[in-house]
Amino acid sequence: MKLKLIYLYPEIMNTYGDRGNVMLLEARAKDYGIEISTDYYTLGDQLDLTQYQLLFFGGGQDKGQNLIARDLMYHKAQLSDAVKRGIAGLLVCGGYQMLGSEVGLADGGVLEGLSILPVKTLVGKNRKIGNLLVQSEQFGSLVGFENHSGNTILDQSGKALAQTIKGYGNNDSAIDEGIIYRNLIGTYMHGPFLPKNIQVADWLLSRAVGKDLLTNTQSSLYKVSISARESVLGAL
Amino acid sequence: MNPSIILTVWFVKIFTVLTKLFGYQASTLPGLIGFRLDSQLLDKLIKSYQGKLILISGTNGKTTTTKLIADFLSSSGKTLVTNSSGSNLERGILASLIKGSSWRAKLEQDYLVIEIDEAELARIVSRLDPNYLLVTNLSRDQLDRYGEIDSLATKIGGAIRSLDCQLIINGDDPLLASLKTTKPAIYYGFSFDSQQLPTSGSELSDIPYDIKTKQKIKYHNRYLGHLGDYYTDSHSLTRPKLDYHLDKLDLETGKLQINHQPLDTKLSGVYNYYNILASYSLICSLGYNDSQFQSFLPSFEPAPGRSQSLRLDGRELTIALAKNPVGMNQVISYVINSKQYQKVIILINDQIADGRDVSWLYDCDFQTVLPTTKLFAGGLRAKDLRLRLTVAGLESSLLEKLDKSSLLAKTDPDDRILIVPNYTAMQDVFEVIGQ
Repeated sequence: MKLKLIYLYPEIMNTYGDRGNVMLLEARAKDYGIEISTDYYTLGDQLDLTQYQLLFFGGGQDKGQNLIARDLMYHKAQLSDAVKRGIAGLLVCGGYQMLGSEVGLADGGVLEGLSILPVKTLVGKNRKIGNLLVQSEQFGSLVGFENHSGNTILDQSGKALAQTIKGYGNNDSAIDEGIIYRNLIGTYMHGPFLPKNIQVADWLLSRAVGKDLLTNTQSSLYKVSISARESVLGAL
Repeated sequence: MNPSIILTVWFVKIFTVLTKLFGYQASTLPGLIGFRLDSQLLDKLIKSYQGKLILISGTNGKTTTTKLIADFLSSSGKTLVTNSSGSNLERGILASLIKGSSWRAKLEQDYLVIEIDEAELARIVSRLDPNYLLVTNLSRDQLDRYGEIDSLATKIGGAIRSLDCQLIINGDDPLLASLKTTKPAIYYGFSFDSQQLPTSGSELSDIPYDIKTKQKIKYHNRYLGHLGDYYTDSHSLTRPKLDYHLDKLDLETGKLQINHQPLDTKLSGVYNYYNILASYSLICSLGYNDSQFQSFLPSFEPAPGRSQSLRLDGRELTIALAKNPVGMNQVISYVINSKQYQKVIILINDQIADGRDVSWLYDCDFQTVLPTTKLFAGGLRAKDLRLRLTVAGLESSLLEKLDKSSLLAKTDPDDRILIVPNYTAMQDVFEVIGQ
C-alpha cells in the first residue's frame, strides 16, 4: 500500500511540536507496511490535492495565521473538494480554526476561514493554557496540551471530537473539544497529539487507505506510546 | 544613603549568613526577602551605582557569554558583581546585588555583569537602565512561559527604544534586526563559508518569513538555526553591516579569527564561537584592546554543565546541557554524532525552570542521530523522551532512576559517557555525582 501525505505550511504552522504528528504518521505507517511519502506545501507553491490521501495542518502564531490566510483562500475550492472526496486529515489549533468560517484574532482582527468545517472561532480574552484531558466516544480518553485564546463554537450540525474532562477544549465553557467531520479531525491538542493518542493515528491511516486496519499492538512504537500515555494519564 | 536601605540590606545579609549556617543553599531567597521588605530596593541600589552596568540576555549563550566577560574583567584586575543562570530573574539579580553591596548598602565595584532572562529583560530593563546591553539571539524556548517568540522581540524593542544604552547584538539574528536604542547599535556575526559546518537535517527556523512583506528569509550563509547572513529578495530585510566578524574557524583545532585577529580556545561547538564573538565585541566596546582578550581566551573554562568533562570511577563523563531545540540540535551534530561516547544518556525534566511542556522535543532533529550508540532516556519525562526517540526510529532504554550506578551501568573503565540534561536535570546530575 502507498500513501501520500501533504503537510501545509510546515515552516509557519508548527507550534508545540505539531510536526511530531507527521513524524508519528510516517513511523506508524511503517508498522502496517504502508509506504508513505510526505510533501511540504508552503506559500506560493503549486498544489494539487488530488494526489494525496492524508493532510496535516498545524497551529501557528497569530502573525503566522495572518501570513497564510490569503494563500490558503486561493486553494479553497480544491481543499473543499478533497474533504468531500474523503481525504483523511488532522488539523491542530490554528489549522483547525482556519477551516471554519471565521477566526477572531487577539489583536481584534477577523480572518475569513475556508468554511469547510461547521465551526467559527471568536476572539477570547481568557488564554487557555494547560493539560487537556477529554473523553471521546470513538477514541476513549485523549490527552494533550492546549494554548489558545480563541473560542471555537460548533454549529448544530457539528459533532465534537470529545467531551472535556480536564482543561477547556473548544471554548471557555469547557464542555467539548475538537471536531470530527467526515475523515477530518480538528483539535486544540498540541503536545504533539498523535504520539500519545496513537489510536487516532490508526484511524487516520485506516481512513486514508479506505479500510479498517487491524491494530498493530506488537510494534515497539505502539508499546512505547501506550507506556508514555499511561504515565501522562496517571499524572493528570 | 537612606538609612532604611542600609537596614534592609543588613537584614538580608544577616539572614543569608544564617541560612547558610543552617545548611540551606539560598540563591534567590535573599532577593525575595529584600523585595518583600522594599519593592524598590533594586531601583535604589542601581540608582546609586557609579560604575558600568552590563546586561547579557537572549535565549542561548547567556551564561557562557556572561562568564567570558566577567572572567575577562576579573583577570584584568577589575572588581565586579555577576550572577549565575539560576538567578537571572528580578529576585535572583537582586540577591546578587545585595550580596555584592557594602555594609553601607552601596555597590562599589567597577562593573555589574548581569545575565538576565529574556522575558524578564522586556519587563525590567528600563528600571535597570544599563550602560551596555548584549542580546545573543532569540529562539523558541519554553513557549508556554514566554508566549510567542516574535511578540517577545517586539516587547524587548519597545522597552529599550528610549534607553541611552550601548546595544550590542547578534547581527546574524533577523529577530533582533529591529532592536534599537538612542545610540547606534554594534553588530557582530559570522562571515566564513557555512559549508564547512556539519548539517543537521531539517533545521527549523523560528522566523521563516519577513512578517511585514511576507517574503521568505533566505541566507547567503546559514550557521545555526535561523542565524546567518540573511536577506529577502526585495532587501526589505538584510543583515546589518557587521562591526565584529568571525571570519575564520577551524572546528578541529579551535582556532578562530575575529576581525582578522587569530584567537585560540578550549571551547567547541558553533554556539560557543558566537559566545566568544559576543564577549569580544562587548569587551572591545568597553575600550579594551584585542590583544588582552587574545591572551585571556585560551585559559577560559566554561560554566558547569556547558560541555565540561570529569572522571567518575575511571569513566570519562561529559555533561552537555541542552534545554531547547537549537541547543539540542547542536549537541546532536557536534557531540552525540562525534561517536566518541560508548553511552549517551539524555535527561529531560519538566520543572518550572525547564518549562512544564516537553513538546519541544519534537522540534529537535533526533532523526539525525546516528543509530550506533547505546542510548538511554531519563529524567522526570523519560517516557515522553523515549517515545520521541522511538518516533525518530532510535532504540533507547529507560533510565528508571538517576543514581551513580545507573549512570555507570553497562560501561567499562575508560569508557566515555555523555550526559545530555536539560536545566534542572543537570542540577540532579551534579547532586548524584557529588559536585
